[in-house]
Amino acid sequence: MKPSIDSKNNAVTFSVSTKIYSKDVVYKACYVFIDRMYVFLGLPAKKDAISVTLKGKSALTRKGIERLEGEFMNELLNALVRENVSKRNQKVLEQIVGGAMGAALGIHGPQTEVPVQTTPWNLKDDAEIENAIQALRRELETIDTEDDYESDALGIRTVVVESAAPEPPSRKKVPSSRSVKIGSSKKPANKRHAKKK
Amino acid sequence: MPKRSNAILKLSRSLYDPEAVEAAAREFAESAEIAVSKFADRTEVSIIDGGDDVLLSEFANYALFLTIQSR
Repeated sequence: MKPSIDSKNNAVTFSVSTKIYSKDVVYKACYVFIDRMYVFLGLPAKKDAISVTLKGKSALTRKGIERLEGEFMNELLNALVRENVSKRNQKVLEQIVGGAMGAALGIHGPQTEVPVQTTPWNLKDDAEIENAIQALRRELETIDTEDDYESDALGIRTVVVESAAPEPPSRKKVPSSRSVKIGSSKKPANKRHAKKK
Repeated sequence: MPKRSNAILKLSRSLYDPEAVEAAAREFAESAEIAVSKFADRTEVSIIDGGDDVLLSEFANYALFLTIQSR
Protein backbone atom coordinates (compact mmCIF):
# COMPACT_ATOMS: atom_id res chain seq x y z
CA MET A 1 0.00 0.00 0.00
CA LYS A 2 1.28 3.42 -0.92
CA PRO A 3 1.54 5.76 2.05
CA SER A 4 -1.10 8.45 2.16
CA ILE A 5 0.13 11.79 3.38
CA ASP A 6 -2.23 14.19 5.08
CA SER A 7 -0.30 17.43 5.17
CA LYS A 8 -3.18 19.26 6.82
CA ASN A 9 -3.13 16.97 9.82
CA ASN A 10 0.61 16.42 9.78
CA ALA A 11 0.07 12.71 9.36
CA VAL A 12 1.05 9.78 7.19
CA THR A 13 -0.76 6.45 7.00
CA PHE A 14 0.71 3.25 5.65
CA SER A 15 0.26 -0.47 6.15
CA VAL A 16 2.75 -2.97 7.48
CA SER A 17 2.56 -6.62 6.49
CA THR A 18 2.23 -8.92 9.48
CA LYS A 19 3.62 -11.73 7.33
CA ILE A 20 6.99 -9.96 7.48
CA TYR A 21 6.75 -8.00 10.71
CA SER A 22 5.02 -9.66 13.63
CA LYS A 23 2.74 -7.70 15.93
CA ASP A 24 5.44 -7.65 18.59
CA VAL A 25 7.92 -6.13 16.17
CA VAL A 26 5.40 -3.43 15.24
CA TYR A 27 4.84 -2.70 18.94
CA LYS A 28 8.58 -2.42 19.52
CA ALA A 29 8.92 0.09 16.72
CA CYS A 30 5.92 2.03 18.06
CA TYR A 31 7.50 2.11 21.51
CA VAL A 32 10.55 3.89 20.09
CA PHE A 33 8.44 6.56 18.38
CA ILE A 34 5.71 7.01 20.95
CA ASP A 35 7.35 9.95 22.74
CA ARG A 36 8.20 11.78 19.50
CA MET A 37 4.94 11.50 17.62
CA TYR A 38 1.39 10.26 17.86
CA VAL A 39 1.01 6.66 16.75
CA PHE A 40 -2.31 5.09 15.82
CA LEU A 41 -2.68 1.44 14.93
CA GLY A 42 -5.60 -0.03 13.06
CA LEU A 43 -6.69 -3.04 11.11
CA PRO A 44 -7.20 -2.32 7.42
CA ALA A 45 -9.58 -4.24 5.19
CA LYS A 46 -6.60 -6.05 3.73
CA LYS A 47 -5.75 -9.18 5.68
CA ASP A 48 -2.34 -9.79 7.28
CA ALA A 49 -1.61 -6.13 7.70
CA ILE A 50 -1.62 -3.39 10.32
CA SER A 51 -2.25 0.18 9.33
CA VAL A 52 0.03 2.66 11.04
CA THR A 53 -0.72 6.36 11.25
CA LEU A 54 2.07 8.62 12.40
CA LYS A 55 1.22 12.17 13.32
CA GLY A 56 3.84 14.77 14.11
CA LYS A 57 3.52 16.63 17.39
CA SER A 58 4.69 19.84 15.74
CA ALA A 59 4.08 21.22 12.25
CA LEU A 60 6.04 19.34 9.59
CA THR A 61 6.77 19.83 5.93
CA ARG A 62 5.75 17.18 3.41
CA LYS A 63 9.32 15.89 3.36
CA GLY A 64 9.32 15.75 7.12
CA ILE A 65 6.14 13.68 7.09
CA GLU A 66 7.63 11.34 4.47
CA ARG A 67 10.71 11.01 6.65
CA LEU A 68 8.51 9.84 9.54
CA GLU A 69 7.46 6.82 7.54
CA GLY A 70 11.02 6.06 6.46
CA GLU A 71 12.30 6.23 10.03
CA PHE A 72 9.49 4.01 11.23
CA MET A 73 10.22 1.41 8.56
CA ASN A 74 13.90 1.47 9.51
CA GLU A 75 13.00 0.93 13.14
CA LEU A 76 10.73 -1.94 12.14
CA LEU A 77 13.63 -3.63 10.41
CA ASN A 78 15.87 -2.96 13.38
CA ALA A 79 13.35 -4.50 15.78
CA LEU A 80 12.92 -7.51 13.49
CA VAL A 81 16.66 -8.17 13.34
CA ARG A 82 17.01 -7.78 17.10
CA GLU A 83 14.18 -10.22 17.68
CA ASN A 84 15.70 -12.78 15.32
CA VAL A 85 19.11 -12.48 16.98
CA SER A 86 17.64 -12.81 20.47
CA LYS A 87 15.65 -15.85 19.38
CA ARG A 88 18.78 -17.44 17.94
CA ASN A 89 20.85 -16.77 21.04
CA GLN A 90 18.16 -17.50 23.60
CA LYS A 91 19.38 -21.01 24.46
CA VAL A 92 22.98 -19.91 24.78
CA LEU A 93 21.94 -16.98 26.98
CA GLU A 94 19.80 -19.23 29.16
CA GLN A 95 22.71 -21.65 29.61
CA ILE A 96 25.14 -18.87 30.49
CA VAL A 97 22.78 -17.23 32.96
CA GLY A 98 21.78 -20.62 34.42
CA GLY A 99 25.41 -21.61 34.80
CA ALA A 100 26.29 -18.30 36.43
CA MET A 101 23.35 -18.53 38.81
CA GLY A 102 24.19 -22.14 39.64
CA ALA A 103 27.81 -21.26 40.31
CA ALA A 104 26.79 -18.34 42.51
CA LEU A 105 24.42 -20.54 44.52
CA GLY A 106 26.82 -23.49 44.60
CA ILE A 107 24.46 -25.73 42.69
CA HIS A 108 25.80 -27.91 39.97
CA GLY A 109 23.24 -28.46 37.29
CA PRO A 110 22.88 -31.61 35.24
CA GLN A 111 25.92 -32.24 33.12
CA THR A 112 25.09 -31.68 29.53
CA GLU A 113 26.50 -34.18 27.13
CA VAL A 114 29.23 -32.72 25.02
CA PRO A 115 29.16 -34.20 21.55
CA VAL A 116 32.25 -36.29 20.86
CA GLN A 117 34.36 -34.61 18.27
CA THR A 118 35.46 -36.99 15.58
CA THR A 119 39.10 -37.08 14.56
CA PRO A 120 39.96 -35.20 11.42
CA TRP A 121 41.85 -38.16 10.04
CA ASN A 122 40.20 -41.40 9.01
CA LEU A 123 41.31 -44.38 11.02
CA LYS A 124 39.62 -47.55 9.95
CA ASP A 125 39.03 -49.20 13.29
CA ASP A 126 40.06 -49.36 16.92
CA ALA A 127 42.77 -51.93 16.25
CA GLU A 128 44.54 -49.48 13.96
CA ILE A 129 44.42 -46.79 16.64
CA GLU A 130 45.76 -49.25 19.22
CA ASN A 131 48.63 -50.21 16.90
CA ALA A 132 49.51 -46.55 16.38
CA ILE A 133 49.56 -45.95 20.14
CA GLN A 134 51.79 -48.97 20.73
CA ALA A 135 54.21 -47.81 18.04
CA LEU A 136 54.43 -44.37 19.65
CA ARG A 137 55.08 -45.95 23.06
CA ARG A 138 57.90 -48.07 21.67
CA GLU A 139 59.41 -45.02 20.04
CA LEU A 140 59.26 -43.12 23.32
CA GLU A 141 60.98 -45.97 25.18
CA THR A 142 63.92 -45.90 22.81
CA ILE A 143 64.55 -42.21 23.38
CA ASP A 144 66.80 -41.59 26.35
CA THR A 145 65.33 -38.36 27.54
CA GLU A 146 67.58 -37.90 30.57
CA ASP A 147 70.76 -37.19 28.65
CA ASP A 148 69.19 -35.11 25.96
CA TYR A 149 69.56 -31.70 27.53
CA GLU A 150 73.08 -32.40 28.80
CA SER A 151 74.47 -33.52 25.46
CA ASP A 152 73.45 -30.16 23.96
CA ALA A 153 73.08 -31.51 20.46
CA LEU A 154 72.16 -28.13 19.05
CA GLY A 155 74.93 -26.28 20.85
CA ILE A 156 72.69 -23.71 22.39
CA ARG A 157 73.88 -24.08 25.93
CA THR A 158 75.36 -20.90 27.43
CA VAL A 159 77.02 -20.64 30.79
CA VAL A 160 75.82 -17.76 32.87
CA VAL A 161 78.05 -16.68 35.73
CA GLU A 162 76.44 -14.46 38.23
CA SER A 163 78.75 -11.62 39.08
CA ALA A 164 78.65 -10.00 42.50
CA ALA A 165 76.33 -7.10 42.62
CA PRO A 166 78.19 -3.74 42.65
CA GLU A 167 78.02 -1.82 45.86
CA PRO A 168 75.83 1.22 45.80
CA PRO A 169 77.79 4.48 45.87
CA SER A 170 78.17 5.89 49.37
CA ARG A 171 76.02 8.85 50.02
CA LYS A 172 77.65 12.00 51.13
CA LYS A 173 75.71 14.07 53.54
CA VAL A 174 74.87 17.26 51.84
CA PRO A 175 73.47 19.90 54.14
CA SER A 176 70.15 21.02 53.05
CA SER A 177 69.77 24.66 52.27
CA ARG A 178 66.60 24.71 54.28
CA SER A 179 67.97 22.98 57.34
CA VAL A 180 68.79 25.34 60.14
CA LYS A 181 70.57 24.19 63.23
CA ILE A 182 68.52 24.65 66.35
CA GLY A 183 70.11 27.08 68.69
CA SER A 184 72.62 28.40 66.17
CA SER A 185 73.64 32.00 66.62
CA LYS A 186 73.50 32.76 62.94
CA LYS A 187 70.36 34.39 61.82
CA PRO A 188 69.27 34.22 58.25
CA ALA A 189 70.06 37.44 56.56
CA ASN A 190 67.01 39.32 55.58
CA LYS A 191 67.81 42.10 53.24
CA ARG A 192 64.43 43.68 53.37
CA HIS A 193 64.42 44.10 57.10
CA ALA A 194 68.05 45.03 57.37
CA LYS A 195 68.25 48.52 58.80
CA LYS A 196 70.25 50.98 56.90
CA LYS A 197 72.62 52.83 59.11
CA MET B 1 -7.62 23.68 17.95
CA PRO B 2 -11.39 23.72 17.72
CA LYS B 3 -13.09 21.95 20.57
CA ARG B 4 -15.15 18.94 19.71
CA SER B 5 -18.16 18.23 21.77
CA ASN B 6 -18.02 14.50 21.16
CA ALA B 7 -15.06 12.68 19.66
CA ILE B 8 -15.10 8.94 19.13
CA LEU B 9 -12.01 6.82 18.92
CA LYS B 10 -12.34 3.26 17.66
CA LEU B 11 -9.51 1.04 18.83
CA SER B 12 -9.13 -2.50 17.55
CA ARG B 13 -9.33 -5.06 20.32
CA SER B 14 -6.53 -7.13 18.85
CA LEU B 15 -4.16 -4.16 18.83
CA TYR B 16 -5.21 -2.23 21.93
CA ASP B 17 -5.70 -4.13 25.16
CA PRO B 18 -9.18 -3.17 26.50
CA GLU B 19 -7.82 -3.10 30.05
CA ALA B 20 -5.11 -0.68 28.96
CA VAL B 21 -7.71 1.52 27.27
CA GLU B 22 -9.78 1.59 30.47
CA ALA B 23 -6.69 2.43 32.51
CA ALA B 24 -5.88 5.26 30.11
CA ALA B 25 -9.46 6.54 30.43
CA ARG B 26 -9.09 6.62 34.22
CA GLU B 27 -5.86 8.60 33.86
CA PHE B 28 -7.47 11.10 31.50
CA ALA B 29 -10.64 11.48 33.57
CA GLU B 30 -9.40 14.77 35.01
CA SER B 31 -8.90 16.31 31.57
CA ALA B 32 -12.15 15.23 29.96
CA GLU B 33 -15.24 13.16 30.41
CA ILE B 34 -14.44 9.83 28.81
CA ALA B 35 -16.73 6.86 28.21
CA VAL B 36 -15.39 3.47 27.23
CA SER B 37 -17.58 0.91 25.46
CA LYS B 38 -16.34 -2.57 24.76
CA PHE B 39 -17.39 -4.51 21.68
CA ALA B 40 -16.36 -7.90 20.34
CA ASP B 41 -13.84 -6.52 17.89
CA ARG B 42 -13.12 -3.04 19.19
CA THR B 43 -13.11 -0.70 22.12
CA GLU B 44 -14.83 2.62 21.54
CA VAL B 45 -13.74 5.66 23.45
CA SER B 46 -16.02 8.67 23.54
CA ILE B 47 -14.51 11.89 24.74
CA ILE B 48 -17.68 13.66 25.66
CA ASP B 49 -16.49 17.03 26.78
CA GLY B 50 -13.28 18.91 26.31
CA GLY B 51 -12.01 16.57 23.67
CA ASP B 52 -9.76 18.16 21.10
CA ASP B 53 -7.37 16.61 18.56
CA VAL B 54 -4.36 16.78 20.84
CA LEU B 55 -6.19 15.16 23.73
CA LEU B 56 -7.48 12.43 21.44
CA SER B 57 -4.01 11.75 20.08
CA GLU B 58 -2.45 11.80 23.52
CA PHE B 59 -5.09 9.38 24.73
CA ALA B 60 -4.43 6.97 21.85
CA ASN B 61 -0.70 7.18 22.47
CA TYR B 62 -1.12 6.48 26.15
CA ALA B 63 -3.45 3.55 25.50
CA LEU B 64 -0.90 2.11 23.08
CA PHE B 65 1.89 2.67 25.60
CA LEU B 66 -0.05 0.79 28.31
CA THR B 67 -0.87 -1.99 25.84
CA ILE B 68 2.82 -2.44 24.97
CA GLN B 69 3.75 -2.35 28.65
CA SER B 70 1.17 -4.99 29.54
CA ARG B 71 2.59 -7.49 27.03
